[in-house]
Amino acid sequence: MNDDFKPTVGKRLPYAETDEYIGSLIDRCADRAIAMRDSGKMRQQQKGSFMRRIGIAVTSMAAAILAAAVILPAALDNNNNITAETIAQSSSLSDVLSSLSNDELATLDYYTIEDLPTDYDEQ
Amino acid sequence: MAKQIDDEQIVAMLMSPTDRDRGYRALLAKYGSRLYWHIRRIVVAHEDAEDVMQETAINILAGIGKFEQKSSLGTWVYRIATNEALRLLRRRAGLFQSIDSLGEVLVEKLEDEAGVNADAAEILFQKALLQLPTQQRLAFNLRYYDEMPYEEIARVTGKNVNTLKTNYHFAVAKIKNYLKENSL
Repeated sequence: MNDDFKPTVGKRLPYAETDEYIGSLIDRCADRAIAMRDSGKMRQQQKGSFMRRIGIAVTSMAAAILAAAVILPAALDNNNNITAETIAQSSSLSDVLSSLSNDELATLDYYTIEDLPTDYDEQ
Repeated sequence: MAKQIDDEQIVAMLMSPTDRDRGYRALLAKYGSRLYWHIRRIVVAHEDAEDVMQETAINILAGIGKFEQKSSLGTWVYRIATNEALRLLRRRAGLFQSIDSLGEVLVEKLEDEAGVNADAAEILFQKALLQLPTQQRLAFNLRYYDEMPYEEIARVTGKNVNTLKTNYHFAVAKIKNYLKENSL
Protein backbone atom coordinates (compact mmCIF):
# COMPACT_ATOMS: atom_id res chain seq x y z
CA MET A 1 0.00 0.00 0.00
CA ASN A 2 1.25 3.45 -0.83
CA ASP A 3 1.97 5.16 2.52
CA ASP A 4 2.15 8.62 0.97
CA PHE A 5 -1.33 8.29 -0.43
CA LYS A 6 -2.73 11.51 -1.84
CA PRO A 7 -5.82 11.57 -4.05
CA THR A 8 -4.57 12.72 -7.44
CA VAL A 9 -6.46 14.89 -9.88
CA GLY A 10 -9.03 12.74 -11.68
CA LYS A 11 -9.55 10.62 -8.60
CA ARG A 12 -11.57 13.19 -6.69
CA LEU A 13 -15.02 12.34 -5.47
CA PRO A 14 -17.94 14.73 -6.01
CA TYR A 15 -18.52 15.26 -2.29
CA ALA A 16 -18.12 18.38 -0.20
CA GLU A 17 -16.67 16.97 3.07
CA THR A 18 -13.30 18.51 3.83
CA ASP A 19 -10.19 16.76 5.16
CA GLU A 20 -10.58 18.65 8.46
CA TYR A 21 -14.18 17.47 8.82
CA ILE A 22 -13.24 13.85 8.13
CA GLY A 23 -10.28 14.15 10.53
CA SER A 24 -12.54 15.30 13.35
CA LEU A 25 -15.05 12.56 12.48
CA ILE A 26 -12.29 9.95 12.82
CA ASP A 27 -11.28 11.42 16.18
CA ARG A 28 -14.90 11.23 17.36
CA CYS A 29 -15.12 7.60 16.24
CA ALA A 30 -11.94 6.78 18.18
CA ASP A 31 -13.19 8.62 21.28
CA ARG A 32 -16.55 6.82 21.19
CA ALA A 33 -14.95 3.41 20.67
CA ILE A 34 -12.59 3.93 23.62
CA ALA A 35 -15.44 5.28 25.78
CA MET A 36 -17.57 2.26 24.88
CA ARG A 37 -14.78 -0.13 25.76
CA ASP A 38 -14.16 1.63 29.06
CA SER A 39 -17.84 1.55 29.98
CA GLY A 40 -18.17 -2.12 29.01
CA LYS A 41 -20.70 -1.27 26.29
CA MET A 42 -18.46 -2.68 23.58
CA ARG A 43 -18.85 -6.17 24.99
CA GLN A 44 -22.61 -5.65 25.24
CA GLN A 45 -22.72 -4.42 21.65
CA GLN A 46 -20.67 -7.39 20.42
CA LYS A 47 -22.93 -9.73 22.39
CA GLY A 48 -25.95 -7.95 20.87
CA SER A 49 -24.44 -8.26 17.41
CA PHE A 50 -23.77 -11.98 18.01
CA MET A 51 -27.33 -12.52 19.23
CA ARG A 52 -28.65 -10.61 16.20
CA ARG A 53 -26.71 -12.93 13.88
CA ILE A 54 -28.03 -15.96 15.76
CA GLY A 55 -31.53 -14.49 15.40
CA ILE A 56 -31.07 -14.02 11.64
CA ALA A 57 -29.76 -17.59 11.29
CA VAL A 58 -32.70 -19.02 13.26
CA THR A 59 -35.20 -16.92 11.27
CA SER A 60 -33.63 -18.04 7.99
CA MET A 61 -33.79 -21.69 9.05
CA ALA A 62 -37.42 -21.29 10.15
CA ALA A 63 -38.25 -19.65 6.80
CA ALA A 64 -36.52 -22.50 4.95
CA ILE A 65 -38.44 -25.13 6.96
CA LEU A 66 -41.73 -23.28 6.40
CA ALA A 67 -41.02 -23.01 2.67
CA ALA A 68 -40.20 -26.71 2.51
CA ALA A 69 -43.39 -27.52 4.43
CA VAL A 70 -45.46 -25.56 1.89
CA ILE A 71 -43.59 -26.38 -1.32
CA LEU A 72 -42.94 -30.09 -0.73
CA PRO A 73 -46.60 -31.20 -0.31
CA ALA A 74 -47.54 -28.98 -3.25
CA ALA A 75 -44.86 -30.65 -5.36
CA LEU A 76 -46.05 -34.07 -4.25
CA ASP A 77 -49.66 -33.10 -5.10
CA ASN A 78 -48.55 -32.12 -8.57
CA ASN A 79 -47.53 -35.73 -9.17
CA ASN A 80 -51.23 -36.62 -9.09
CA ASN A 81 -52.00 -34.33 -12.04
CA ILE A 82 -50.62 -36.70 -14.59
CA THR A 83 -50.75 -35.38 -18.13
CA ALA A 84 -50.46 -37.20 -21.41
CA GLU A 85 -46.90 -35.92 -21.61
CA THR A 86 -46.02 -37.45 -18.24
CA ILE A 87 -47.60 -40.73 -19.23
CA ALA A 88 -45.79 -40.69 -22.53
CA GLN A 89 -42.50 -40.33 -20.70
CA SER A 90 -43.15 -43.31 -18.42
CA SER A 91 -41.55 -46.46 -19.67
CA SER A 92 -44.49 -48.84 -19.19
CA LEU A 93 -46.99 -46.92 -21.38
CA SER A 94 -44.65 -45.20 -23.74
CA ASP A 95 -44.91 -47.91 -26.35
CA VAL A 96 -48.72 -47.74 -26.35
CA LEU A 97 -48.85 -43.96 -26.44
CA SER A 98 -46.20 -43.60 -29.07
CA SER A 99 -48.50 -45.49 -31.41
CA LEU A 100 -51.19 -42.76 -31.01
CA SER A 101 -51.44 -39.84 -33.39
CA ASN A 102 -50.81 -36.28 -32.18
CA ASP A 103 -54.56 -35.56 -32.24
CA GLU A 104 -55.29 -38.61 -30.18
CA LEU A 105 -52.65 -37.64 -27.67
CA ALA A 106 -54.08 -34.12 -27.46
CA THR A 107 -57.51 -35.45 -26.57
CA LEU A 108 -56.06 -37.04 -23.43
CA ASP A 109 -55.52 -33.55 -22.01
CA TYR A 110 -59.06 -32.38 -22.80
CA TYR A 111 -60.88 -35.43 -21.52
CA THR A 112 -63.35 -34.25 -18.87
CA ILE A 113 -66.05 -35.89 -16.77
CA GLU A 114 -68.70 -34.73 -19.28
CA ASP A 115 -66.96 -36.68 -21.98
CA LEU A 116 -67.42 -40.00 -20.22
CA PRO A 117 -69.94 -42.26 -21.97
CA THR A 118 -73.32 -42.43 -20.18
CA ASP A 119 -75.15 -44.81 -22.53
CA TYR A 120 -74.01 -48.39 -22.48
CA ASP A 121 -75.06 -51.03 -24.91
CA GLU A 122 -77.42 -53.49 -23.27
CA GLN A 123 -75.81 -56.87 -22.83
CA MET B 1 0.54 18.00 9.26
CA ALA B 2 1.79 15.81 12.13
CA LYS B 3 4.42 13.25 11.17
CA GLN B 4 2.85 9.86 10.75
CA ILE B 5 4.20 6.98 12.77
CA ASP B 6 5.16 3.90 10.78
CA ASP B 7 3.27 0.62 11.08
CA GLU B 8 5.93 -1.14 13.15
CA GLN B 9 5.77 1.54 15.80
CA ILE B 10 1.99 1.45 15.82
CA VAL B 11 1.97 -2.34 16.19
CA ALA B 12 4.49 -2.10 19.04
CA MET B 13 2.22 0.39 20.81
CA LEU B 14 -0.87 -1.74 20.18
CA MET B 15 0.84 -4.75 21.73
CA SER B 16 1.81 -2.80 24.83
CA PRO B 17 -1.01 -2.57 27.41
CA THR B 18 0.15 0.86 28.52
CA ASP B 19 0.46 2.34 25.01
CA ARG B 20 -2.48 0.58 23.40
CA ASP B 21 -4.82 3.59 23.25
CA ARG B 22 -2.06 5.82 21.90
CA GLY B 23 -1.31 3.19 19.27
CA TYR B 24 -5.00 2.94 18.41
CA ARG B 25 -5.28 6.68 17.92
CA ALA B 26 -2.10 6.69 15.83
CA LEU B 27 -3.55 3.87 13.73
CA LEU B 28 -6.75 5.80 13.05
CA ALA B 29 -4.81 9.01 12.45
CA LYS B 30 -2.83 7.19 9.76
CA TYR B 31 -5.55 5.11 8.11
CA GLY B 32 -8.83 6.70 9.26
CA SER B 33 -9.27 9.12 6.39
CA ARG B 34 -8.43 6.48 3.77
CA LEU B 35 -10.82 4.06 5.45
CA TYR B 36 -13.59 6.65 5.50
CA TRP B 37 -13.27 7.34 1.77
CA HIS B 38 -12.99 3.64 1.00
CA ILE B 39 -16.23 3.07 2.93
CA ARG B 40 -17.87 6.12 1.34
CA ARG B 41 -17.11 4.81 -2.14
CA ILE B 42 -18.92 1.59 -1.22
CA VAL B 43 -21.97 2.93 0.64
CA VAL B 44 -22.09 6.39 -1.05
CA ALA B 45 -24.12 8.27 1.61
CA HIS B 46 -22.11 10.18 4.21
CA GLU B 47 -24.48 9.20 7.03
CA ASP B 48 -24.01 5.51 6.19
CA ALA B 49 -20.25 5.99 5.84
CA GLU B 50 -20.14 7.60 9.29
CA ASP B 51 -22.04 4.67 10.83
CA VAL B 52 -19.77 2.15 9.11
CA MET B 53 -16.68 4.11 10.13
CA GLN B 54 -17.84 4.02 13.75
CA GLU B 55 -18.44 0.26 13.58
CA THR B 56 -15.03 -0.16 11.96
CA ALA B 57 -13.35 1.86 14.72
CA ILE B 58 -15.10 -0.27 17.37
CA ASN B 59 -14.15 -3.52 15.66
CA ILE B 60 -10.53 -2.45 15.24
CA LEU B 61 -10.30 -1.63 18.94
CA ALA B 62 -12.03 -4.87 19.91
CA GLY B 63 -9.81 -6.90 17.57
CA ILE B 64 -6.41 -5.48 18.50
CA GLY B 65 -5.77 -8.39 20.88
CA LYS B 66 -6.51 -10.82 18.04
CA PHE B 67 -4.29 -9.10 15.46
CA GLU B 68 -1.57 -11.68 14.80
CA GLN B 69 0.44 -9.68 12.24
CA LYS B 70 -0.21 -12.32 9.57
CA SER B 71 -1.13 -9.42 7.30
CA SER B 72 -0.05 -5.80 7.38
CA LEU B 73 -1.84 -3.35 9.60
CA GLY B 74 -3.27 -1.54 6.57
CA THR B 75 -4.62 -4.75 5.07
CA TRP B 76 -6.20 -5.73 8.37
CA VAL B 77 -8.04 -2.43 8.90
CA TYR B 78 -9.14 -2.32 5.25
CA ARG B 79 -10.57 -5.82 5.63
CA ILE B 80 -12.59 -4.77 8.67
CA ALA B 81 -13.84 -1.61 6.93
CA THR B 82 -14.74 -3.52 3.76
CA ASN B 83 -16.66 -6.18 5.69
CA GLU B 84 -18.57 -3.57 7.67
CA ALA B 85 -19.44 -1.59 4.52
CA LEU B 86 -20.66 -4.72 2.72
CA ARG B 87 -22.63 -5.72 5.81
CA LEU B 88 -24.46 -2.38 5.66
CA LEU B 89 -25.26 -2.92 1.97
CA ARG B 90 -26.58 -6.43 2.77
CA ARG B 91 -28.82 -4.95 5.45
CA ARG B 92 -30.08 -2.37 2.94
CA ALA B 93 -30.70 -5.04 0.31
CA GLY B 94 -32.69 -7.24 2.69
CA LEU B 95 -32.85 -11.00 2.99
CA PHE B 96 -34.01 -11.86 -0.53
CA GLN B 97 -32.20 -9.26 -2.64
CA SER B 98 -28.62 -9.13 -3.83
CA ILE B 99 -26.47 -6.12 -2.95
CA ASP B 100 -25.83 -5.81 -6.69
CA SER B 101 -29.44 -4.69 -7.06
CA LEU B 102 -28.73 -1.51 -5.06
CA GLY B 103 -27.16 0.36 -8.01
CA GLU B 104 -30.13 2.65 -8.63
CA VAL B 105 -30.55 3.42 -4.93
CA LEU B 106 -26.86 4.30 -4.67
CA VAL B 107 -27.07 6.53 -7.74
CA GLU B 108 -29.93 8.43 -6.08
CA LYS B 109 -27.82 8.84 -2.94
CA LEU B 110 -24.93 10.06 -5.07
CA GLU B 111 -27.15 12.70 -6.72
CA ASP B 112 -28.46 13.80 -3.32
CA GLU B 113 -25.01 14.06 -1.80
CA ALA B 114 -22.94 15.52 -4.62
CA GLY B 115 -21.68 18.92 -3.52
CA VAL B 116 -22.93 22.07 -5.28
CA ASN B 117 -19.52 22.58 -6.79
CA ALA B 118 -19.21 18.98 -7.90
CA ASP B 119 -17.86 18.49 -11.37
CA ALA B 120 -20.37 16.86 -13.75
CA ALA B 121 -17.62 14.55 -15.03
CA GLU B 122 -16.86 13.38 -11.48
CA ILE B 123 -20.54 12.57 -10.91
CA LEU B 124 -20.75 10.74 -14.23
CA PHE B 125 -17.68 8.71 -13.35
CA GLN B 126 -19.20 7.72 -10.00
CA LYS B 127 -22.43 6.75 -11.75
CA ALA B 128 -20.42 4.54 -14.06
CA LEU B 129 -18.89 2.84 -11.01
CA LEU B 130 -22.28 2.31 -9.40
CA GLN B 131 -23.46 0.31 -12.43
CA LEU B 132 -20.85 -2.32 -11.65
CA PRO B 133 -21.49 -5.49 -9.64
CA THR B 134 -20.19 -4.99 -6.10
CA GLN B 135 -17.16 -7.30 -6.46
CA GLN B 136 -16.02 -5.51 -9.61
CA ARG B 137 -16.59 -2.12 -7.98
CA LEU B 138 -14.62 -3.20 -4.94
CA ALA B 139 -11.70 -4.50 -7.00
CA PHE B 140 -11.69 -1.32 -9.09
CA ASN B 141 -11.86 1.00 -6.05
CA LEU B 142 -9.01 -0.69 -4.22
CA ARG B 143 -6.82 -0.79 -7.34
CA TYR B 144 -7.61 2.61 -8.80
CA TYR B 145 -8.24 4.80 -5.76
CA ASP B 146 -6.23 3.06 -3.05
CA GLU B 147 -3.51 1.95 -5.47
CA MET B 148 -3.21 -1.46 -3.85
CA PRO B 149 -1.36 -4.30 -5.55
CA TYR B 150 -3.60 -7.24 -6.46
CA GLU B 151 -1.96 -9.43 -3.81
CA GLU B 152 -3.02 -6.99 -1.11
CA ILE B 153 -6.52 -6.60 -2.54
CA ALA B 154 -6.75 -10.40 -2.40
CA ARG B 155 -5.93 -10.32 1.30
CA VAL B 156 -8.50 -7.58 1.93
CA THR B 157 -11.32 -9.19 -0.02
CA GLY B 158 -10.53 -12.88 0.39
CA LYS B 159 -10.63 -13.37 -3.41
CA ASN B 160 -7.83 -14.79 -5.50
CA VAL B 161 -5.57 -12.60 -7.59
CA ASN B 162 -6.76 -13.90 -10.97
CA THR B 163 -10.40 -13.30 -10.06
CA LEU B 164 -9.53 -9.75 -9.02
CA LYS B 165 -7.63 -9.09 -12.26
CA THR B 166 -10.66 -10.30 -14.19
CA ASN B 167 -12.96 -8.16 -12.05
CA TYR B 168 -10.79 -5.10 -12.63
CA HIS B 169 -10.54 -5.75 -16.36
CA PHE B 170 -14.33 -6.06 -16.72
CA ALA B 171 -14.86 -3.02 -14.51
CA VAL B 172 -12.62 -0.85 -16.68
CA ALA B 173 -14.33 -2.07 -19.86
CA LYS B 174 -17.80 -1.37 -18.45
CA ILE B 175 -16.79 2.07 -17.15
CA LYS B 176 -15.35 3.04 -20.55
CA ASN B 177 -18.49 1.81 -22.24
CA TYR B 178 -20.75 3.70 -19.82
CA LEU B 179 -18.79 6.92 -20.26
CA LYS B 180 -18.90 6.57 -24.04
CA GLU B 181 -22.67 6.05 -24.02
CA ASN B 182 -23.33 8.83 -21.51
CA SER B 183 -20.69 11.37 -22.48
CA LEU B 184 -21.51 14.93 -21.54
